[in-house]
Parts: sequence; C-alpha cells; structure tokens
Amino acid sequence: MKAADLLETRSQNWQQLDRICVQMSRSWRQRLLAEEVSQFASLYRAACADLALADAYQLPPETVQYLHQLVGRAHNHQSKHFETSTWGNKLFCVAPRAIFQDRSVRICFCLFWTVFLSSMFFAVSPHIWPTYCEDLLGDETIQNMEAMYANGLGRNPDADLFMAAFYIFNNTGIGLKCFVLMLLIVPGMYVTVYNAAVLGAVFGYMSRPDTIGRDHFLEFVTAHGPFELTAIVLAAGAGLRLGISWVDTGGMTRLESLERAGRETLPIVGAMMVLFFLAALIEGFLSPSAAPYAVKAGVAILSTLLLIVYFFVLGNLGKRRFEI
Amino acid sequence: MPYCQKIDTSIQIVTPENIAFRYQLAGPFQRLPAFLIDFGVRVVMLFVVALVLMILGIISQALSAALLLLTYFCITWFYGVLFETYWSGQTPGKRMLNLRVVTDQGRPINGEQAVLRNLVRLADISFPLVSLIAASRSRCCQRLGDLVAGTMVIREEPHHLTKVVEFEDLELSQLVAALPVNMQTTRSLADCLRSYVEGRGRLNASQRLEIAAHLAVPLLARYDLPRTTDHDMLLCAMYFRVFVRDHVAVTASPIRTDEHPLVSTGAVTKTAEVASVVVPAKRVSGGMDEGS
Repeated sequence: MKAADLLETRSQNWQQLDRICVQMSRSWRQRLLAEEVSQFASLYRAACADLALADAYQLPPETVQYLHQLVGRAHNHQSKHFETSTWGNKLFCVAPRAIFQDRSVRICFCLFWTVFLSSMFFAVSPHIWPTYCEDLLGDETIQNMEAMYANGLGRNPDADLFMAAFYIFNNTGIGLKCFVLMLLIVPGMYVTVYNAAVLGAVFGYMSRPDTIGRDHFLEFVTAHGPFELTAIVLAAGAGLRLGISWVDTGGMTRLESLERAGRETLPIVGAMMVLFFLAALIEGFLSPSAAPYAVKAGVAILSTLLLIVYFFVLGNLGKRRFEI
Repeated sequence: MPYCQKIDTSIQIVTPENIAFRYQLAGPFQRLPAFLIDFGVRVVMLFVVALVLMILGIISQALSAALLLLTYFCITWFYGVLFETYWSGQTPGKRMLNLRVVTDQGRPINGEQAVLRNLVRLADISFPLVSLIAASRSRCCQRLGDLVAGTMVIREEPHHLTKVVEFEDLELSQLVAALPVNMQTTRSLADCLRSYVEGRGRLNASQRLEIAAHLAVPLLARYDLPRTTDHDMLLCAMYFRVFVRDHVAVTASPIRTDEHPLVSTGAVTKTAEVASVVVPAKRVSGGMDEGS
C-alpha cells in the first residue's frame, strides 16, 4: 500500500481521534458517551499501529510528527484530580507513622531544640555574651518587641482576624520554605538554625527578669507554642528526609530515591500545614485575648497532649498494625 | 537499514500497546516565558481579588484585609497546584505556549505530583544555577521540582497532516511507465526522493538540474533509460512510483473512491491492503468497471 492511499484512508480516523481528544480536554466536567469511549479506544489502538508502521509505510516526516503528537495526546488524555477521600487516612494513619519512624524528624527535633535552648541560654545570661541579643536581633527589633508587649494583652478584636491570617501566611510560608530548601540541605539547615536561634534569643531576652513586658510575652506565647514549634520541626524534618534521600539512596538510583522520598514526605507536609493553621488560629484569637492565664495554659497542655497522642499513640498503633 | 537516533530534545515513551512514541521536551527557554506569563496572571488575579475586597472593606476592613492575605498565600503557593491538577498539567502560561506537565512515564500528573513540583519551585528560584545544572544533567530536562515529583514538561506543538506531492505533468506518465516494473528502492533512497520532491518547489530550474544530477545520472544508467531524460522529471517519476501509484492513469481519473470501494470505506482490512499491493491498481479498477 502506497503512502498516498494510506494518508487518504487513515487521516479520517486520525482526525476523529484528534477531535475526541480535544473534546476531552475542553470539557472536563462533561462525560463522554460510552460509544465515544469505545470509539476512542479503537481509534487510539489504530493510531498506535499506524505509528509503529509509519516507517515501513514511508509516511512523510511531518505526518509522523503529527502521529507522535496524536498518540502522545491520547496517551495522557485522562486527567486525575485530588483524591480527597484518602486525605483523612494520610493525615491520621500515614503521617504519624511516618513521623514516628523518621530519623530525619528526630535529627531536626534535636537540632532545633539544641539551637533554641542554647540561644535562649545566651540571651538570658548577661555575663557570657552580653551583647548576644543585640548582635543577633538588632536594637530596633528589640525595642519594637518591648513596645509590643509593654501595654498588656487584650487588643482590638478586629485585629485578631487579620493577625490570624497574617500568621497563616507568614508562619506556614516559613515552614514551607524550610521544607523546600532542605532539599539542598545547606540552605534549609541555615533557615532552620536561623529561625531556632532567633526564636531562642527572643524567648531568652523576653524572659530576662528586667525586661519590660516580660509577663505579657510569656502569657502570649504559652497557648500556641506547642503547635507552632512542633510544626517547624516537622517542616525541617520532612525537608531533611528529601535532602538525605538523594545522598543516602539506600540502593536505589538517586532519582528513584528522591521521588520516593517526595511521595512519602507529602503527608508530613500536610500535617505540618494543619499544625501551622491551628497555631495561627490560637495565636490570632486566644493568645492576645484577655482570657485568664489558666485558659491559655490549659490550651497549651491540651495541645501538647494531642500532639503526644498523635505522634506516639497513632504512630505506634499504625506501626504495630503494620507489623501484624 | 537502522536509523541513527537523532540528537534532539525528545524523549521516547513506550505505551502499554508496545508502541514507542516521542515527546518533545521543553527546555528552560520555553519554560521561563511560561513562568513569566503565569506570574503576570497571578498579579492580575491578586489585583482583581483586591478590588473586590476593597468593596467588601466598607463592611469590615479587618475581614477584607485578612481575606486578601489568605488569597495572597494561596496564590503564592497553590496557583500552579490547582491549575496543573485540574487542567491536566497546564497553567495559563503553559497553555498559551503549548506546554504540558506529564509524569516521566508520559501519563497525566496527579494532585500530589502537582503539589510537590510547585512547592519545590521555591528551591529552583532561590538557586537557579543548581536548577539549571540539574536540568542539564537529567534525562528529561527536569528542574528540581520535576525531579522530586517525577514529572517532565513537554511541548505540544501543533503538527498538521500533509499530503503527498501531486503532479499535473503529462510527460511524467510516460516516464513512470518507462521505469522498470520491479523497481526496488531502499528506504534511504525513498527518503532522498521525498526530501528532494518536497523541496523542489523552492528551487529554480538550473538548481533542480544541478541537485538532481547527482542521483539521476547513476539511476539512468541502472535503469537503461536514455541519457537525454530530464533529471528532475526522473526523480519525480520515481517519487510517484514509490509514494503515490504504480500507474499514472489511475490518478488521472477524478473519482477514485468508486474504483476503490474497499479503501474508501475507512475500514481497511488486511486483505484489502494485500489486494491493492499484489494486483496492479489498474486491473482492480478495470475489474470493477466490468462488474458494473
């Protein structure tokens, strides 16, 4: 059969397949008829066969290009969406188990808290490094901080909503940044250590006995502290898992290892974002309110208990069930 | 004769039907403009949301400011995620420039992959050099985000169906008939004929002669044709024999569909193909005429 005949007879089929593909990509809500689906399948197979034999048929190169494109488009026509039904399972079964067993999270936990506590120690004690806070934070930031907490809590309730949004925007952003930059390890480590050091210095400075607004500050940070600090550790840990995966591949190729780590860390990132969201709500509405300290402390204790249940009970439970 | 693999930015995918087809990969200079367009779209989206919220701001200023911040957060981090998930691998910028994200197996991407590759974009932007090195070292021109998510970006340039070249020269029919019946062409000769005939429209007469002579002189000797035969016409006649038809007479008749009922239905069976190859086309048509 000559190329001219072939082009004439098959081009109708190809054009029809093309039409169905366009129809599929345009109207993703509109379902195709059963007839069209079966027609699509047979047309796709026919186009595949034509492409396979294109060389033997001596089809023109432009037509071969067209066929490559047509088969490619038919091959990836099916669009997958978010499988929201699995999110609950991912968040409450997969994520705690992954976190509980993850070495990277432990490393980041140790790293974050070591830097945080030592920074806090330097900031509190006036003798070892007297200008530590000024060197790290800058005079202006310290003055702003003191001014912020000088007048006590209980601000304009209108501002609460805005501040909650700001905390979601800012803190979740920092968490995601931490996670992503950990892929290259060094910049991620820098972001984590820097944030730990700054937070530690702020806590240290504000808990000096002679600082203005000390009590207000401590009251402010109590309620949302557990969720927020844990979320940062999780972000760094998930990121470090990604970063380590292409260094220590565990026998796989670097690419496979990286892809696998990417899939596995995603639930941890989800958990991290939920924690940041909860922390932002508490930080926006409860922490600055004039509610009695007992309530805030109660929320802090409750959130710590929830975290313990989440990591240790759900993480361990999942592990045991997994082993059986 | 095996063909050499071209050095090109294309990637071969093998489908479950055991067919290998090629995707054209998109390089950084196709993807950067798409990113810039997307950036513009993001700015416009934010601007529109800000305008709407300003009207809402009359009721509650704090609420509108909070919503604006949340919108900014969502657009910054999840613009690409949502578009790529629901537009099967395209954002407005990619759609405009005919790009699409697919998995490295050539399948459509899912939500998780869209999340990963869009989050990791921050690392690509922060360290463009690392990203470029990763792209140049990887098989599918992948930036860091693509490496993590296992995706690649392909070009979907529209290609069109082409027809074989038509001739209206009567002199050609004599030459076609003069060619040996059992004329065999290798694939590379067929390729050569095709590229000559498809390109000859752009050449003038003397250029045609000059180029055609290289191939036509040895061919004339091989087929025992007179030395005076026009070189250009010889190549056209051979092209005609290889790609269009064994005899000119059949194409000369205007209504071909009547003569080829099996072929024109579109449902071409194997037997029909065999028949048209084995039996010369003219005899088939003659038979049909007699029958009717």
